[in-house]
Amino acid sequence: MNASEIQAWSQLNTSSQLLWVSDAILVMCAVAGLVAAIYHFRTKLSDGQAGGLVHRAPIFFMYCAGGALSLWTYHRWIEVNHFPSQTMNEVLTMFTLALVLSMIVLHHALGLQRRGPGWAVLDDVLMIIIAGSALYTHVHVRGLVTAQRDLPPALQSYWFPPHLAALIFSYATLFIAGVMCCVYFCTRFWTGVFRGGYSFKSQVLVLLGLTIIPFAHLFTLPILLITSLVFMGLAVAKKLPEVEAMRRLEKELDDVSFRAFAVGMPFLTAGLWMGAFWAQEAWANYWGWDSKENTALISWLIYVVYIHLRLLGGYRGEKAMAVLMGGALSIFITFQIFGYLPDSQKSLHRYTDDGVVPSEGLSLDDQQASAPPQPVAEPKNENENEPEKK
Amino acid sequence: MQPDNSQPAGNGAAPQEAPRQESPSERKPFKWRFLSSSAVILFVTVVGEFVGRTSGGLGGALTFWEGGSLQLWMVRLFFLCAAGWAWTSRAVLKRFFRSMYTGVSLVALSTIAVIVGVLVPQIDGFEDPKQRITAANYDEQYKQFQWAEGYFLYHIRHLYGIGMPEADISQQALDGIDEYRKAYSNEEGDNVEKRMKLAFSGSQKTAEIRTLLLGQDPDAVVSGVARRLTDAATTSDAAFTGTALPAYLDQLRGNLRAFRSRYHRSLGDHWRKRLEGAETEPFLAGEDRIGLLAESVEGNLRTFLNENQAAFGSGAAASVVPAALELVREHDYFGRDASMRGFFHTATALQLNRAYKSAWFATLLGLLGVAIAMNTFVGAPRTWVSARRAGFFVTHIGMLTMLIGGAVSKVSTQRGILHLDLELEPQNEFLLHFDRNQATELPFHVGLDRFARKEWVQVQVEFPKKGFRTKPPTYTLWEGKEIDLDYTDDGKRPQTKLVVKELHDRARVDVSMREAEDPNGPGIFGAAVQFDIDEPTDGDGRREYPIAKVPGFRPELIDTAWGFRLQTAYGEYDPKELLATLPGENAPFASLYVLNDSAGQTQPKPIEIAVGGDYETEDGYKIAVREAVPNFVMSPDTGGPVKDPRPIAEQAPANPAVWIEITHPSGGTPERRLVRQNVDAQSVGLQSGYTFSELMTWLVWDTWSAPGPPHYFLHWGPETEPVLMDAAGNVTPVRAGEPLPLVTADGQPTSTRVVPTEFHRRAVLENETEFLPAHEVAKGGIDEDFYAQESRGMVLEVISNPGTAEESVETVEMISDDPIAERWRSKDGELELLFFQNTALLPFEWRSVLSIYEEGPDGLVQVDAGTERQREIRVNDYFKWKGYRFFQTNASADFPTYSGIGVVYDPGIPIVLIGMYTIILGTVLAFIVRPIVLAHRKKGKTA
Repeated sequence: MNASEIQAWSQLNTSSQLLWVSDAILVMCAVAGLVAAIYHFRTKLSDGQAGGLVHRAPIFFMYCAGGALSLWTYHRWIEVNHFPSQTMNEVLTMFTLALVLSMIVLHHALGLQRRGPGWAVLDDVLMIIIAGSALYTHVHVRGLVTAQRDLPPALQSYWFPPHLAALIFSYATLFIAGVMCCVYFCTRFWTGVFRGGYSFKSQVLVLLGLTIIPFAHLFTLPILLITSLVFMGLAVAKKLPEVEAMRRLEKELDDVSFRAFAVGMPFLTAGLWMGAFWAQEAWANYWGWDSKENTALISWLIYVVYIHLRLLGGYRGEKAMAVLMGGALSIFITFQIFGYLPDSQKSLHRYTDDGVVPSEGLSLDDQQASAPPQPVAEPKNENENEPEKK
Repeated sequence: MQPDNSQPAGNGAAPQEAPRQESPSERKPFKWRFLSSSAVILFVTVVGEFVGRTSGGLGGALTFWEGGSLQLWMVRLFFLCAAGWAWTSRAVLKRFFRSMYTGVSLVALSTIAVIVGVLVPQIDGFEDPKQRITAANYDEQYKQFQWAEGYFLYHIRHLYGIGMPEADISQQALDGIDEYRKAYSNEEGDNVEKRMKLAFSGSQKTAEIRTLLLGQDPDAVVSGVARRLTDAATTSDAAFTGTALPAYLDQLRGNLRAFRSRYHRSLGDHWRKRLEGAETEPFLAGEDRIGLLAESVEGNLRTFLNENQAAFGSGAAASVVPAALELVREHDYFGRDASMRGFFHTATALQLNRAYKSAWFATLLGLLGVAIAMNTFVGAPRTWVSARRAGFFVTHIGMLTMLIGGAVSKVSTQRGILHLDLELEPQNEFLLHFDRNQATELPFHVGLDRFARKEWVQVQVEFPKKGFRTKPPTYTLWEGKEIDLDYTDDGKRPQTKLVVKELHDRARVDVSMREAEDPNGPGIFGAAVQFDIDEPTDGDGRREYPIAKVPGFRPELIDTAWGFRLQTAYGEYDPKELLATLPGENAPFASLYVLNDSAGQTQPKPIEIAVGGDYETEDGYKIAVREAVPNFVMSPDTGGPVKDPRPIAEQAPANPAVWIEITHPSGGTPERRLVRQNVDAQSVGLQSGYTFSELMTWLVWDTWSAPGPPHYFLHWGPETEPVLMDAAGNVTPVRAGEPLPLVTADGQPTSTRVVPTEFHRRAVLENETEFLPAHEVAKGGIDEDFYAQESRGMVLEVISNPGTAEESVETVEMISDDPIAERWRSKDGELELLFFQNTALLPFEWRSVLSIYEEGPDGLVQVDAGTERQREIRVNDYFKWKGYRFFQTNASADFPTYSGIGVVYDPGIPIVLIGMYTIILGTVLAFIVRPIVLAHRKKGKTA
């Protein structure tokens, strides 16, 4: 926040002010998480043994951030006069609210702090990562156009809030599940580097998985970097984890990430098929093989593979966690990278893009093929091979 | 797919149960693994694709009672054998499908299939199962494919935006935005800046994608060669630098460009011929072409150097030619066109670009369905709904139902569009897949009773004295909406605040006019005449209304029935002087407003045009007017304009249009463009498709000067009594209260009666706004206000210096679509508001009311299909009749009476929806209810 922005604080509408407030809380949450992590690591104390302020501060700030962002939703709703999920700016802020809410849900549902001292550290680390992700998203959000946009006719439906809310919540939860797996793989990689105990082949495989997949970098690289710093610190303090401990962690983390997945999956399923119910009402077409629908289906199918592998194939540990990360990547692509996909230009789901007028049930070809639009029949360009400028 | 039936796998599965009825040699059955089961699935998928292609789909093969070709009978025989084999080896099949490996492979391969469909652009109209790439649609289809895939590849090559163009906004523009921030708030200003950046980088990106796909324009080569030639020249002789050199460079540029487009065209021809199955010669690769090009360029260059030896001396060729040829050789003329076309062809051959409608995809989903069915009904039925398994069971039943519904949809869906118009009779023919060649009959007729489009109401806020170059912002309004404006210099406090207090769907302005009592009193604006008009309506009825005309300001009264045209004139002179103002024989009939975006123009310049005329814009574009029609109507059958056989003068200008040809200042092929008065090419998205998209054009038809019905003048003066004069100069005295003796071109009295009620010499206006109450919505009725299409009203509070001691509030009533009441200007003239219905945006909503007709002995008879509300369709609310669903799909701002209705017949819909609901239920049971119940039981046991 630079000087002129502080000066213009009074100019900000309530929702923008709340976003800054939530940022401040998230920073406090991350700091409290860091303090708690160090405390839990040093004292080897977990829930039940230590009920102090340090122990409870991170989740307290998470609740506060959730409150601030919920207020944001309320005020933004008033400011734009509809459920605030019409622009990417609004959708992403809803997403950070969902991240915070799922972190709160998972904190209680997974009961990480009750599992033991190491687990309490993991819980704190997750809090830091989630607060950091939310902060990063807010920075990105401020670079987007913030203007109010009217709901086009197709979005004026009772399906709009539940479809969006269910999907965004599931995205947040499944994202957290993916982050857990990512933390595991990074920790495992550095354990291997510092203490050995893993085959060279598997180390290379993990490193490649963390570094060569496009778009995954946004999450894998920062986590890889942070864990490397932590490990260097641990190496100096001579407190590097045992390989045996890592193997135990693998089993337990597999279980924990599965639980996180189990919270998100019903919402993902409901959100996906609610979209089909809505499409049925708006376009009498429950499934139009639209790019967005397809990418959402891909994410769902990846999780279907995951659950079958895990429950029937008995795949546990690293293999299952890798699939879970694949699901999170697919969700990220559906949510943010979608606009680059080949057919996304034709999609009916481009409401969040600025400057794009969605074609409202009419794909471009329909407009050209059916009466009554333009009758000019002559070729308009001497070079017919040129693509149309869009 | 139960653990106890699957292969031992990983580290937690149950041991394999040996199938009892199998022979001893098979006691150690084959162990399915991912690779083996995937291979089998892929094989079956390939077979499915093959069968689908030979039989035209499964439906063709199964309808054996309809006979068929030998090929089809072979397919049926194959099916019979396959079924027989499946029955005899059912145990093997059961083991295959119940293997975890098979199940996961099926889901994974289905996922990959969907991914393929996402990464390979799907052909236009792939929803139509009959749609294929043909030589006829190849160009159009490839163009779309190429753009979509190029767009994707471009972004993959620029991960995280690395190397993408960045907007560079000038300091001047930034300073402008700072002023703008002060007027409209920081947020508005930030948004303007962000949008400028997006627009700028967007157009740069488009250009880069074009280069990636089609190579670069060879202009860079030409300028490089030009530089080398000028460097080598020993003279600055005007004849050489002024004529000979530019002529050569033009020739070179022409050659290179022709070379480039010839390459792309012949590449297209090559692939189109292959699609037709014609013999093709081997395609000459780009490198070989460049060799030939370089030879020809070299020849030309040497000739040029020889001819201009005086300018270069003899040794120049040795240095210039190799350098120039290197430039020519190293340029990218081709882009990725060749590989992209090859990819397109492969994708077409493998049906990857209509993946979701292909036989292989259907086979894959079919196998998935079989696998789900074989794994769902496992074990004793009573265990299916146990707490442990209910979630699993219900989810899989849901999946199965959904796939069955999808299969029903696949074989029975009809989807298309029904073009209805308020002015047309009920229709029973709709176009399948929006295709004019696939007209299909409904078993009944559908009529359009009502149709309307309702807009968002907005206010445009302008600070006319600040002279912003950007368009003033508009704000959508609702009751309670607040807009802060005009911030203090420190940016802390708005000096003006707008608060919307009331919004009304129906409002009107009652204007009363009277003669001023005091000739020097306030509010006098001059002469005026009030009329009562009685005119025929489109139906059989008539309509009466009052209207006022002010000589000198919008003085014309144009008959809507197109029987006469009247102009009012005031002044102390002989009315015969007015005859000189009548338009001559070939007078311009319209104004064409032209604005060149790229040249930084801000105000459109009018050009008065006539058919056959040639004109030139300020910056050199030549415009030839080819044809003009006052009433442009498009045929729903041909898509072409319907020619009205009547002479132009007899056609009321309801939808005027002209065809113009635009030639670029630098020459070249002209662009033929249709310009319509009622269509703003920019807001409907046509502008970007024009060749000269930088040149914007608007048409304003001159209803007075264009050919039309007889002209009249109504003249009076301070001392002169009113008279009516026709175009021949015949003068008739008229009196207030008596109809004007107007006659049409053929001498008949006009069908519209015009009665001047009062002539004013010093008129005073009294404006009264009136908000009409909303219509009551009756039970089963519809919201009449939506269809009323009346002016909208607003009560607005304009608060000056809010929150300070000097706070003052002014309450303003504004009415849209009224030239006076839609505007409000503050007393100091700083702030100007426009209250309007924004037609440039997507509307608030479209609605249509349909009616159903059956054929009776005496023609069509309307059927009772429910109340108007039940027959009303909106974007999220369709109407269903006899299995056909009708939904609001298409509308056009140019044709306000037209409504495009989507038609869907699909008995699979309810099955699929039930399936989806079941899946959600199953997931909730499996992931939420199951753990709770199990935890509860565990607690019970331990307690």
